[in-house]
Amino acid sequence: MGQKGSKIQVTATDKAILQLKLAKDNLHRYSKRTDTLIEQERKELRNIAIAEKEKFKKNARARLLLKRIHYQQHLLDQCSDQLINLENMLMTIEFKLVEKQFIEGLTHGNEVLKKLNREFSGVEELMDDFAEQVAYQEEIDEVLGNSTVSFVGNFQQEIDKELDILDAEINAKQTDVEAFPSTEGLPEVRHNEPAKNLTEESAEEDKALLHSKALKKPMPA
Amino acid sequence: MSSCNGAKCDLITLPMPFPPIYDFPPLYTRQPNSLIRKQQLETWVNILIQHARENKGWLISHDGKLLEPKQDHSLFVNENIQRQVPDPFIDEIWVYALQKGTVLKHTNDSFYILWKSLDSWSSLLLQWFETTGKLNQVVTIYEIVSGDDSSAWEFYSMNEQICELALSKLVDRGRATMITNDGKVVAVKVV
Repeated sequence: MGQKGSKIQVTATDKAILQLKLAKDNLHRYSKRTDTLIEQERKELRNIAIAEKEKFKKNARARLLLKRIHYQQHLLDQCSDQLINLENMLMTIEFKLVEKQFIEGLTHGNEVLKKLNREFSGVEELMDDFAEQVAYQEEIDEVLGNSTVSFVGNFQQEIDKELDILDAEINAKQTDVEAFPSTEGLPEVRHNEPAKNLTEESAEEDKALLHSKALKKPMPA
Repeated sequence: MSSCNGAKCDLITLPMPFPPIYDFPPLYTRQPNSLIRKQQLETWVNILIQHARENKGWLISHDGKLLEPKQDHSLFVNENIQRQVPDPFIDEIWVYALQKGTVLKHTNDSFYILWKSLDSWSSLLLQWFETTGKLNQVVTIYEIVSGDDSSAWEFYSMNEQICELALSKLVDRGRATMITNDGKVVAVKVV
């Protein structure tokens, strides 16, 4: 599949570890073998003990067996010590390998960081340039703002004048209304009756108008 | 070990008996009808697989005795019913099992017996590598089949040759590299 391209590398370290592991395997094998041997000899010893209840303590074979068992036990202890040593060594190596990777990662990261920082080396110039540009922009803004202000200033007086005229017009009208003679003291107008007549008249007039309109209307086909 | 009492424990430790058909006399006679014979051969292969699985057997001799671990009793002899498979039919069973890939030729009169296919073994091995954190490390084959880290796994005590074959499946998949010492594959590195 996709992983086929990357061939797994076997490094010199791997070879060295392999030698250690083979040694470890041999020790492991040896300890297993010795274990079973001791087991067997113990069984044999027990059998002798059962067979010769009284005098088995003086049996040369039993003594020999026990000696052998002890000696083998001693060897087994040594073997397991060595096994532990080897295992410790392997673990240390494996940990060192991990550490190596860790260091490699660090150096790699450092390089990337350096590279990125190098890319930032022009940043001061850039910022100076940027500040300059901003300052220039502000200058332009100021100039433009001033010119607008002066433009408005020229017309200020005319605007004032126009406003004055408008003010004079409106305020003058108000004063005219105030100048009319007052209605106080005049007799009250009687609104009601003539108004009623007027409404009746107009109603009649309306009726007549409606009637004539209806006559004029063409007949529906 | 978990504590277990009486009958329950016995059930677990006792090997499973053969299927009832193992005690069926006609099974030991070559059936003339080819259709039935095929069924018969199939049954024998299943018995082989079951026998190997029960005994964690890896190597079996031509006459049906497990060589690893060593057993004196032949699978093709059933004392219960006083029957035994005749030699020519034994040959036929082996040919059929070879065809099916259940066994692989070891020497002229012994076979590796695969009670799991090589592919299943290889994925189980890969699982072991992953769960025990042994990826990207040199691991000897002895460590895989007899090491302390694998004693709870099904392939513990596996025949090293079979292990190597299963691992070569991983090599084919680009997941592993064999490491040789003195021209012999002794270790593997799985990534």
